[in-house]
Amino acid sequence: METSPKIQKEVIEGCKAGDEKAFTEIVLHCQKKVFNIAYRMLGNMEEAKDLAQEVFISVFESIKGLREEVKFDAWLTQVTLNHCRNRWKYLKRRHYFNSDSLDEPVEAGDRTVPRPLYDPSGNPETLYEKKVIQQVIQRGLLSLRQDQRELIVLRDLQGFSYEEMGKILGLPEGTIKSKLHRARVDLKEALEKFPH
Amino acid sequence: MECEKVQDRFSSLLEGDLNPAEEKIVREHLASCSGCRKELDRFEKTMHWLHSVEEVEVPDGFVSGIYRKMEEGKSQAIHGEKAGWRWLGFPVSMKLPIQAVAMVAVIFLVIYLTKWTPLETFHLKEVGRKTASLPPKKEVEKEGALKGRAVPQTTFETHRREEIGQLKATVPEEKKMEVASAPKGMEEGGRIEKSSVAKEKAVFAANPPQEIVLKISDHERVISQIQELVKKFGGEIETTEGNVLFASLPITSFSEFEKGMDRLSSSQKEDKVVLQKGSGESLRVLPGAKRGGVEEKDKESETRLKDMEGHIIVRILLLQE
Repeated sequence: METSPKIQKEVIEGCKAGDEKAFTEIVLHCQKKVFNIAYRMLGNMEEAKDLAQEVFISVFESIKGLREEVKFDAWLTQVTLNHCRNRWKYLKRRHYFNSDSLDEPVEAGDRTVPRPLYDPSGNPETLYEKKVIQQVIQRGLLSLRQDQRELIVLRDLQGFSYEEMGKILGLPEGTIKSKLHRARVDLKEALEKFPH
Repeated sequence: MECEKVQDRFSSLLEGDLNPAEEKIVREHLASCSGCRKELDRFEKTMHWLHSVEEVEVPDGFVSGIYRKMEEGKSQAIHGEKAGWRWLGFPVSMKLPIQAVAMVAVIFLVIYLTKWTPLETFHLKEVGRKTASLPPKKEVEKEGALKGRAVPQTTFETHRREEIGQLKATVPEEKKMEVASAPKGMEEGGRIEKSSVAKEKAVFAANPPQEIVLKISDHERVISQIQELVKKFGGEIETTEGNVLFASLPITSFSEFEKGMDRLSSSQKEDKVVLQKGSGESLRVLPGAKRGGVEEKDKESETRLKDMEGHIIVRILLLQE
């Protein structure tokens, strides 16, 4: 999993001073990461877009409170996760996830692909298969508890190190490792339970 | 090693986090346990799928959407500030005293509205009533003036003689004076100070003025008897105006005085009526007085409120047959 280079300290300071150009640079640099975390946490493009935009607005408004520029990435991820937790609660109260809120199944030509089956022996070689797998994984992620989903998204989808995760989540590395393993096992079992 | 413990190390095994000794034990177990091998295979596939998930591209108009939302937020913030959100920005050191003062003010307001308003209303009613019944008020003032000059210098008898002679003549004059001076009196009534009114109310509340009406035949003798009676019970005659006497008596001896007046009344073989009023504003002439055909200028006279604590003012009306 590739990680983007760290944003320059001067850009963060410019954003702190209210420079919109610097803020735009931060947005362009971090938008993919923020949007993808939001999408994997919520499973819906529109919600993820809206949430990611709000995250950046929050960043612009509260970046003055950031004391150490070197911790910007961890801070930004914390802000994103906090927004995701709040939005998740909000949507859950409105039974958003009871409805068919997930993005539509992958379209393959003139036919709609049914919900994918779990087949560990298969290899996601083709583009179509990759899309199907993404959907399966997304459904599996949404079936997990939120804290488990956060761990898998950060580690397995975003490629954070255990050290970084420890700082972001405020947990010891050993705790993160054991919780992450439990989350992975639960995901595996969730995928196995999907109807064939 | 047990299967469960081996399976708990799958993540560490795949990430290369196990030390060589541990890894050796786990791999030895996997070589001999088909169930754990199968589980590891499934786990590995799940991880493979997870790592195959690609990042999603950010939708178009993402950055411009941020600026649009920020603009919307600014306009809302401006409205919010105008609506009083600026208050949230105040330091706590300023907010707390202001809130405390406001709370005290609210409490006082509530107490005032719930408790004090009836008294104030009563006071206003009193003032209004006094303003409306100006003639008695003027009488009180006139009495005060008279008492200051004439009363101490003249004896009761001489005063009485003069009054008997001038009785009929003075009544119309007084009425004219009252009518002429009514506006002035109204102004004065409006300027009544709260404290004096409050005192007055307190006096009335504590010792409501008593009125005793006696029908008499021998005016002079009865007055001297009343004077003696008053002195006997530790009181004093405050003022005498024709057929009206004001006496100040200790409250404790009032009942005895009343009995004495009863005896006096029975010795005169006349009716005696005792009236108790909340205030002196509506002293009425008894029907008996009209029957007697005696002119009563005392009808307009007002109780002089010089009552002190422990004393009661008694107004004695003498009705001559």
